Amino acid sequence: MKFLDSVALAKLRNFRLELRRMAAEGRASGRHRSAWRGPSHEFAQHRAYVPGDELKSLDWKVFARQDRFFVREYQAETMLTTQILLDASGSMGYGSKWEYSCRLALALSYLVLSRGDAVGLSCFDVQPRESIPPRAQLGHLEVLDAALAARCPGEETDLPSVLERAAAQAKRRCLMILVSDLLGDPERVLQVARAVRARKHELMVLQVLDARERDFPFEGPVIFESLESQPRVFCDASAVAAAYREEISRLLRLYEAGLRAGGIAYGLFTTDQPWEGGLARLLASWQ
Amino acid sequence: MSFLYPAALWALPLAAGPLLLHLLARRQAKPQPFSDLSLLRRALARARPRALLKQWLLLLARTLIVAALVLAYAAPVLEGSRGPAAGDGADVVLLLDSSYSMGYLEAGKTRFELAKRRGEEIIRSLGPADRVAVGVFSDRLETPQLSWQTPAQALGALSRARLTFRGTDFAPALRAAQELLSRQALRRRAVVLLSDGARHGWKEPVERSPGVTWLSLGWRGPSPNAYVASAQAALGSSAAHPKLAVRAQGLSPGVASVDVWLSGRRAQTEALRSAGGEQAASFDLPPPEDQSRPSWSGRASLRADALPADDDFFFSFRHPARPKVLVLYAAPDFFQAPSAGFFLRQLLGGSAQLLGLSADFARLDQLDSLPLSDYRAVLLCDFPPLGSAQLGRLRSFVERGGGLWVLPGSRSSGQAWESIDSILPAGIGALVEGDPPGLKPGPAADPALSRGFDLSTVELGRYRLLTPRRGAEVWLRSSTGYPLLVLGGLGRGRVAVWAASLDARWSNLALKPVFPAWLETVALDLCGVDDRNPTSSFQSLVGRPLSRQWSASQAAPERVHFRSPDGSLTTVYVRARRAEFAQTERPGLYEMTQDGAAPPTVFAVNVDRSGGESDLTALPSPPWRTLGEESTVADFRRAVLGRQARGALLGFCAAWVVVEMALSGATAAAAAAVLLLALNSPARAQPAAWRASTATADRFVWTQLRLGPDWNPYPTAPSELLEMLSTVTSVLSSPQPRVLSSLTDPGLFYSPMVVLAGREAPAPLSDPELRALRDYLSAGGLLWIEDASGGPPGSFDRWVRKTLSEALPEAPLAALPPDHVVYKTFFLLRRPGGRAGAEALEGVSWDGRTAVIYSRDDLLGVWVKDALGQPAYQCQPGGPAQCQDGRRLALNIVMYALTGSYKADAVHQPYLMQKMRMGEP
Repeated sequence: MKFLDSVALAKLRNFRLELRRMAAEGRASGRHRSAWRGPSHEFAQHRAYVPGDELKSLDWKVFARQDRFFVREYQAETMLTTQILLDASGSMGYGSKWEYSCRLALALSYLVLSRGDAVGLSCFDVQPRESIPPRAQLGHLEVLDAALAARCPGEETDLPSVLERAAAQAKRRCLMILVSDLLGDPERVLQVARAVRARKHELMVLQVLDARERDFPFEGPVIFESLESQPRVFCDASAVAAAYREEISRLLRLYEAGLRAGGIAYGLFTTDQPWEGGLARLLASWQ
Repeated sequence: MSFLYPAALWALPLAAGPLLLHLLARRQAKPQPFSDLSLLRRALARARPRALLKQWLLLLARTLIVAALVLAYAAPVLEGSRGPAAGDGADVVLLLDSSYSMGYLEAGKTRFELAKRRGEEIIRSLGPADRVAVGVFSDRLETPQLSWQTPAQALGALSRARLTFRGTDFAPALRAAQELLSRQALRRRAVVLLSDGARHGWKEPVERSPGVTWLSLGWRGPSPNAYVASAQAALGSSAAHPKLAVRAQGLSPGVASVDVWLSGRRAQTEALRSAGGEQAASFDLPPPEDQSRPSWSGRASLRADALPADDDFFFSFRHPARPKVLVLYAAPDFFQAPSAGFFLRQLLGGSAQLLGLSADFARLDQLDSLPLSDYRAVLLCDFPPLGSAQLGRLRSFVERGGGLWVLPGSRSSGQAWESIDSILPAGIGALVEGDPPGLKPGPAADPALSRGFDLSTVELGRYRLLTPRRGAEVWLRSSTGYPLLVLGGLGRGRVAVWAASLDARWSNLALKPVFPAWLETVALDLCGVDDRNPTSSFQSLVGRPLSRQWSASQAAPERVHFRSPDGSLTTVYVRARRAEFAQTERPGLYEMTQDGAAPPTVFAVNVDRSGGESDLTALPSPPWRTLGEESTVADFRRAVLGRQARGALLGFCAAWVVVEMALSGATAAAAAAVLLLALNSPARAQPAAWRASTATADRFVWTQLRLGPDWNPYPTAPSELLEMLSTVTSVLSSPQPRVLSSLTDPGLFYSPMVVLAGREAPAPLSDPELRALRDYLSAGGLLWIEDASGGPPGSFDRWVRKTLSEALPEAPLAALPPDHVVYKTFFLLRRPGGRAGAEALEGVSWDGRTAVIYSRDDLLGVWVKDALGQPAYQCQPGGPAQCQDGRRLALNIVMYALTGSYKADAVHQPYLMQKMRMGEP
């Protein structure tokens, strides 16, 4: 595999993506607690009988004690579908961001698959480009890897609309993992993220930045050429550096505060730091 | 504003360097791919205004730093007089005002003295490259011709100047100064008026030449000055009642007193109470000492104030004396009404004093006992026949200078006429009667005879026909043209005859208004009174000649003597009946005396106040800049040399460097280096540059050794030589010679050539001196020894040969070959010249060149000129040609010292030949 070598896989064995508190919605019975009550071994609650309930679910022992009808309900255990949304816009091609993001996506896929859940992948720029439907087999990892290797970033980005569309397309409640640099209109992104959350989807946002995007180490007069199709910008980098750093830190603070407030897991990754550490921190906070 | 180093301004475009660099850097900006530019754009939008401001501020700072540095190197000079080559010296003309108003006392010293002292300070502050000329002026330029002088000459001219009693006029002096300055337009030029700058000196405007700075001295505070504006005979003053009118001006409020001094004694004092300004007073003078010449002379004085020169006003005036005449009559009925005596007594008798003469009346038969010498004229009226003794007395009276007027009457028969015929100017004829009325003035008549009164109504009933004799003048004629009044000379006196009687039965003349004028005019003429002005004033002004003209009728003396107020006596010979005395340099009373008993004439000479000289009000908005009293030299230097702006520019530059450092931040180290550079190098360059502008840096300094008693046989020769050197060659020379008192003077080594001249042997040189001489010659110096004795070899010659053999024992003194380069360093000389001969030069060859040149031809003597610019000494035996050769040889020696054997070096020949052939190298 291109993005996950054996060393990375060995490291990933120590990670666990615990989705227990998430109530999964799904037909296939799996390891996750289902949002639905259903055939299962795990008792959920008693509930008063209403006409139409199956008689077999009546708890006769309670009736015997209390002379009233109660129905036993069990927690249904279903499989959790995880959808990874990977930003493949032009800006992601800056530095090693794309590779870094692919590694993160595959690592997360592995973690999901290793728990026996299904994972799907969708690369997008202005619209979803490659959608690999969720599968729960571990072999699916190879498919994902091949798909990512074939893909290279380009084009513009329209993260909010893509996210919105993905959330709308997911019929059941699922976990959405967004891997992007989030360099766009933060208000819109946050708005959409909150909307996704309102649809009961779980959302995890991984922001990947190049170190240069954060630190802006340029000096002197520079003509900045966009990797997306934006017009070039000429400026004296040293003069604008301070303002840029201020802008980016404001942006990061905005994302962190906005996403945390919406109950959305958020992790910031920079390419100069190994992805394992960031992922470990993110998963730990997720617990 | 001007620049000491204008060439540095060519570097001014460097100031555009930062801008160019900025533009270049902008073009060379490297493209840099970047992920997402929206954030950058936002940052840019926020940071751009500040960044832009900072960027332009930086650009501005850098541009200004470079520009200020370049300007600082060009050494701008503010305010000074403009000149393209500001580094060259200044031409300064000092004009010293010697008018009497400069005698104004300030703290016990006259302004004249103070101005001289301030002028001396200015001269002493001048550098060797500056030129100075001193002129003294009053209302004219006192200095005959303005010319450039050495500082010593200028100081001498200043100290020799004396205060005059003349007025002030800036115009001629300023014009002469500008004329002198206009000959050198490329230098800083200034005219300094060492004057009080008062309004009275600016009589006519003078156009200031462009580029010339005018300066004048400033004085402390206002200068009040009271003065006597005039003192003269008052209106209505007469010999009997002499009065003097005195007018004082510029009085300060309060009481001032005017004294009148007559013949050295204070005659009267009058207090003038005035509210300031002008005040007049009138003095009654005592009667004249000599009644026959009623004249008064003296002075009217105010108590001396700050300007004493105009506190005295000298006056001298004369009223005509009232000559006395004697009226002789025959009988007492002469005074009865229609007779002539009645009218004459009315006019002349008693104390009426109606006419300018007085009369005594006496009977004719008393003539023998009368003192005729008391009278100036005799009126012989209504005479009977005269005895010969009487006639003899009258004749001798007239011949000694008296006057006689024959006025006939009814007693004057033909016999009577005959008895006096010998003294009459006209022959007497028959009686004429019945003429129409009217008189006509004769050709020789005194114009005052009728004084405008009507003569046409005068009627003569009868009169005697007169036949004028030779030399007689006819003053009046009858209406028919016959002479009526004839005057003629007799001896030194004059005789007049009137053809009719004054008796009213004969004519109505005595009843007519013309009668008094007629009587007075003729009588005064007979009395010899030539001066009929009521007042004769003998006033003149300082500097104007005093003159006396004798009329044809007066006896002119051969010579007169003028006594000046200082007591000196000058004899002036009378030419063409005119005596003129011009030495009236000071105010006072000048006495003119004649040989003999004639009383002296006193002339009063006063300073000319008419130009307002005594009004010391400063000129409002003067056309010059004023030099402060305490800071004369500083102000002068600032005005002429200007103020160096380099310090301010460097400060400005440093301030912008600080700004640049603050703005650029990261490049602070580089900026600090720039700052160090800026502060360091110009600071080092500045004093040197300043010195170069004033010092002798690139000038040839004539250096002479002071050895022996006559080390400087011809003091004027060096300046003449240097003048010709600067004229014919491009060598710049310093006007200030350098004199070395001994060979151990370190100044020796600053001179490429040292001159040693003398006639007699100096003291033998000591060992250190010999060593210094040897060091100097070994180091490349040239010693020019000049034996000025001009005769056979003497003690100086022996001393030279001995000393040279001691100093340079290994090189002998030998004659220079005729093809030696010294004969062609500038002039191509076939033979040497000099005052005392044309022997070849001798020299000591040392180290491949001639280190000592020894001449016995007296090459310095040929430079000395007499007052007419001719050589002062004859050149023997060759005459002027030898003299000319001597001068050329002297220049050649100087050029040899400066250029060495350049002319002999063949290495330049191809270049020179090619240049001559091609016109261009």
